Amino acid sequence: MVSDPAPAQPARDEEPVDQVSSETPVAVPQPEHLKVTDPGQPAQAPDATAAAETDPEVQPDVPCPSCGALAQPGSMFCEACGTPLTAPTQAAPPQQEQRPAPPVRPCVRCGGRVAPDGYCEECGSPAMSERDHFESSPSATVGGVCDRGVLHARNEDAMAIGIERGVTLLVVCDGVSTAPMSDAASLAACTAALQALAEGAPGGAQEVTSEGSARRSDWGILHQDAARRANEAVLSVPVEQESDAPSCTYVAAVADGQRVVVGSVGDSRAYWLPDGGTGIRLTIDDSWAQEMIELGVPASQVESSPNAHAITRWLGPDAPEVKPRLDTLTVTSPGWLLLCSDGLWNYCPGPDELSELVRSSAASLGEGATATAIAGALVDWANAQGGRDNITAVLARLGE
Amino acid sequence: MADFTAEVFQNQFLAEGATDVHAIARITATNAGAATAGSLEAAEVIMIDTSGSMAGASFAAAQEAAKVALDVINDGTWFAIVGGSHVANRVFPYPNAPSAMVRMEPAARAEAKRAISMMRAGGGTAMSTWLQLAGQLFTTVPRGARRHAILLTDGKNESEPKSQLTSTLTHLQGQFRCDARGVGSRYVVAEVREIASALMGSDELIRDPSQIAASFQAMLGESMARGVADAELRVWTPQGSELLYVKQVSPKLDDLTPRKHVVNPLTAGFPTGAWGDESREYHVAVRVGSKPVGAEQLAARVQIVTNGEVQASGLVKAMWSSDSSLTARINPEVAHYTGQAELADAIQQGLAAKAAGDEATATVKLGRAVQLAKETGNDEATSRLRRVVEIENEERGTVRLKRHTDKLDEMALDTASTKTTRIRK
Ligand SMILES: [Zn+2]
Ligand SMILES: [Zn+2]
Repeated sequence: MVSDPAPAQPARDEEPVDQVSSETPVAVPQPEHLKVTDPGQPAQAPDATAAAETDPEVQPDVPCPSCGALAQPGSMFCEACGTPLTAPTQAAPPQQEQRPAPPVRPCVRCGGRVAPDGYCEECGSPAMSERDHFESSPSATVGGVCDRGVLHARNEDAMAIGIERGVTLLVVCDGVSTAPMSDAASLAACTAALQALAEGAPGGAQEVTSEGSARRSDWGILHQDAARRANEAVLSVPVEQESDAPSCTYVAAVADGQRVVVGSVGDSRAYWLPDGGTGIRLTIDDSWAQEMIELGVPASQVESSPNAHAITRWLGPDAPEVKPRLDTLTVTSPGWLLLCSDGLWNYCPGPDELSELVRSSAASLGEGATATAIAGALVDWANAQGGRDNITAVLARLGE
Repeated sequence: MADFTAEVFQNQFLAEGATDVHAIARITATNAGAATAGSLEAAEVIMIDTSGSMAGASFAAAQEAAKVALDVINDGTWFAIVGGSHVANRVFPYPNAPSAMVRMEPAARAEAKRAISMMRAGGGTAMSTWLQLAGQLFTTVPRGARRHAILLTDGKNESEPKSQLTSTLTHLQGQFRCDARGVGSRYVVAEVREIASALMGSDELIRDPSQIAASFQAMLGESMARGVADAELRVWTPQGSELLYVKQVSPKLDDLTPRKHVVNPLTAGFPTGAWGDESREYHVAVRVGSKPVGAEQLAARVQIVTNGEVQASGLVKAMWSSDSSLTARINPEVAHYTGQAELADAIQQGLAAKAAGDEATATVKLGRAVQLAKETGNDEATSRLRRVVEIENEERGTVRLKRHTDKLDEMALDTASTKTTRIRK
């Protein structure tokens, strides 16, 4: 959802923002580009037949390796069974005549068995596809959960996490839900960014070898490359018509020893939540709300605006620029690095509140809870608050 | 082989904070008719009231009806005749016969008719003893056989405490089906209803002894056409939910909730007895934990099970929505049967008040019944009500009690109060 053209806004990280008096309500300027990331559309009733529908105009090309259903070009997951289609050209080996039935995923809400009728045998939750809810656990201390939430019919959030020769790499993207292929776009962006950042790890094609502050800026250069490649991945998602072009937010973090370098476009966030101390929000949103608050518009007026969820920068065809904002941190004590989409932080924006939430979630899970388990608890918590948006939480334990 | 289908009628949309899900599940059996029933092992027990009150025309007619019934029972069917007073007697096979039930064949039929002719009336009435004997007889026939009994009485169950009958019925639940008939105006409608309800059968009033034979023929004809010996209704509900009730609402009202048994921690089972080609409808009410707007949850699986295998399954769903145009709708089937259940209550309470001399309450309740019968399109109930009350205004439910009513008309109204009509399309 792009607003009518309006005078361009100055980029905030280049020029200081003029102080505006908050005595009188400010005439709210409309930035040139706005995207509403959460139009608040209710979830469509899940329809088993709808998933199987294919557009006759689109030539299906990739059979699912698990169930054989033909996927549309660019699909990241099989629409029939939810199997990830990570290698698009990989077809089922022809000699496997008698394939075992695809394993039925346990219920993502309670772990119960999902019956053939599509509902959990324990809690009655509808079955979720691999794209609707997935987890990633590169190690016990690094992991994340990406979930459709309650209200949305699709999961347009995505994440990619890796540990590359001691360097921890985290990426979260939140697809703009007005475009039909946003879920594919956000996942493609995450995958591309992770690959790009991994090249900076020891032995990689763009290994970061410098020391001191130069090392930090070299990671910054790599972040720019990663955002550019993520943007290209979004642009390469095939669409039927230009108006359907998908886009997404972007936040990525590299944890290289004590150094943490974060790049961001849009309103997905990174936080540093040290065990004992005060939490810190590392990123600044590229959002209409952020700009208004910086202009001195009272928060209450900003939050009640229909533009409250609009972002001013994103990845995608009509993106104003793909240069990520860079933020850095030196870790001096143990804590959690958290990357998340607005599906989580909307319910809990303050770093201290988030610190407390992570702490209590970890405590309720008991000693030795994995990063993925704690991220899962954060997602469950956001769902319990209403789950109005897709939810992604990625955690890395640092400074131990 | 019989085929079952399950359909669910409901409004799955719940408002924010709402927890109660109501649905009507329709279970339909096809290919379960007479042809299938022919190859089924089956057993029939006929229980005739032989208490002193029966002596005379009723008893002679009952004997005649039992003989006619024997002609309807297919050869090869296991059968027995029980005479009941304050004790139960096996009339045929003779008490000294080696087997408790025998297969029907021409010689057995002739001998059984002779035994029926020799029955004599006398003594009191303790129906639990009759039913216990029938239960014992049925244990002697092969496993999996369709078990069906007929009970005919003309009087009150006066020779034992009420609790004795109730506890016997609880014990016998699910073991056999029993259709119960009362003849004349001296039996107690509620007692006959209790027997039929607990043992998954029908209950009816027979106005005149001359109609007993036709009633027996009809009951046995229907029984012989039930090709599924036994089926169980199962209701799964999710963890943390509460199954509020399960009521059969068609073809007649019957609260199954007290007959619930545990299949597993999330699944309740309810015996439904034998099935022919027919549809039965059930009102299922489940209380689930409230979920955020947009959430979807399965609230119940309603299944019909034979020989331990699920034959058909219907899904009752819950979807929370902030759209009041969706959540405010009441499903027409749920509304219809809720009205029919209220109609039955109004009739029964009205007649009970009338019997107790509370004319004010009787007038209000029967007036409400007239109104509900009109609203739910139950014309048969309306015509039965007309024999007991003068209707002043059908829509508003204003009535006057009739001065002189036939006791049989009141009993007929009471007995038929649980019969429901299908929703009008
Ligand atoms: Zn598939
Ligand atoms: Zn579950």
